[in-house]
Amino acid sequence: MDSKVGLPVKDDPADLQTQAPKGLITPPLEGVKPTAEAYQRAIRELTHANLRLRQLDKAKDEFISIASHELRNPMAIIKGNISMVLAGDAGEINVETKDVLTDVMIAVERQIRLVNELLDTSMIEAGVINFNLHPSIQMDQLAQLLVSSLKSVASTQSIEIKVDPPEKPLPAVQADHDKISQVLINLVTNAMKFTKKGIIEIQTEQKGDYVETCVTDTGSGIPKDQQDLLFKKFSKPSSPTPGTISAGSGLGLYISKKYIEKQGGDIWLERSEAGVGSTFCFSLPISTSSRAKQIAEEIKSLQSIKDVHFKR
Amino acid sequence: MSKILLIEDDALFVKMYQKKFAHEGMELVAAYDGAEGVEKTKSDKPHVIILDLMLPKMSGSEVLKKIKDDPQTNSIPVIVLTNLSTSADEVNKCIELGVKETFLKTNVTPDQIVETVKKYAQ
Repeated sequence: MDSKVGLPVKDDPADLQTQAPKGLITPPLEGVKPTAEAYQRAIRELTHANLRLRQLDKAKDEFISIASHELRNPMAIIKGNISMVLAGDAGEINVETKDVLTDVMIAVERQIRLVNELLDTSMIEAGVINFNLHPSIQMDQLAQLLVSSLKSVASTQSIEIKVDPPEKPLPAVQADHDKISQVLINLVTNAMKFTKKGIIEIQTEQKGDYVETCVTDTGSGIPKDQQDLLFKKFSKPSSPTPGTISAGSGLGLYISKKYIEKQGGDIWLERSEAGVGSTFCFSLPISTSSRAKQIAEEIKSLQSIKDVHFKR
Repeated sequence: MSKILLIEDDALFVKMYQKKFAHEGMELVAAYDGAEGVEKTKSDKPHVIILDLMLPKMSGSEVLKKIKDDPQTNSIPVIVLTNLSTSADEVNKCIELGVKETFLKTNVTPDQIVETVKKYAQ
């Protein structure tokens, strides 16, 4: 998409309000029979309001799409160029320059994550998230794959990440591969943030019609009074010790919860103890379960509604 | 020398990759929209194509279809760059049309792209 797609000014919500049909909210006076003409007018006004809402909804979707493209592209360029300079592609750099650029890189990566999370959130709220369900996701294998990509970062922090092999072979779950990866990465990086050194363990287990995946850390734990807020938007636990700032938007767990719920599962804090660590778990329906079939139907029908909506 | 075609509408992105590939001893040809991309695929015969799915005028999967429908160009390996807002449908279409790999544009580093390109450039 290019920047030519502008937002029509006429879709301003304030404008919509002023044009909203009057009198519809007030019910007809008791005992007074509405005339045929009043009915006609009401229908006209409702049709008009419906059309305006649809335009507004479309403008909002376009805005999200434009924002995501236009915000992310420059960041990808900044990140790419810095990584090239850091790799010495633009000539030798000295230790000090390298140090400065590494800080810039960390900030850019943080920024990318933040923008991604904000856009994920707005897409969740706009109901325009696409779920691409696959029936054959093996959670233990997925965890293994993700952990190997995080290991190098973890080792610099004296943290060991391991995936325990499941006691019994796991059945496949039905899920969106990318979104589940995002949830699991979120849980593991959260654990890394609050663990100075120690072990992060990932366990997978079948529980009835679901497969549960749990991430356990040996970190600082979450104070009781903050546990209820964990999955709320923009909430983040205060840092246990000054100087260990928990950089983040406070959206990660909120997004994770929405993603898991939409796929028919649940996510929760299993256990947390100050100074000992925390365990977060999430469940996903086994592909052959009736829950999985129900979710597949739900997502399919939502998708077809959206398709109709966009074709208009 | 391997020749790479990058179909991408952002000039700064193109410039970055031009530098990167020059450094790696490869030639990068750029096309700034889908139509130009299809044209340059025919005229320049690149070894590998990097295709951004978010393009003006023609969608990424349409460009890909044109490249794959032409017997002269259908064997050229294509790597696709996606965006988080790219629909699953669009990505699936590209996979069905036989793209080699897909990368999230904001997450991938130039090194990863170069590595992947080297794998497919004969």
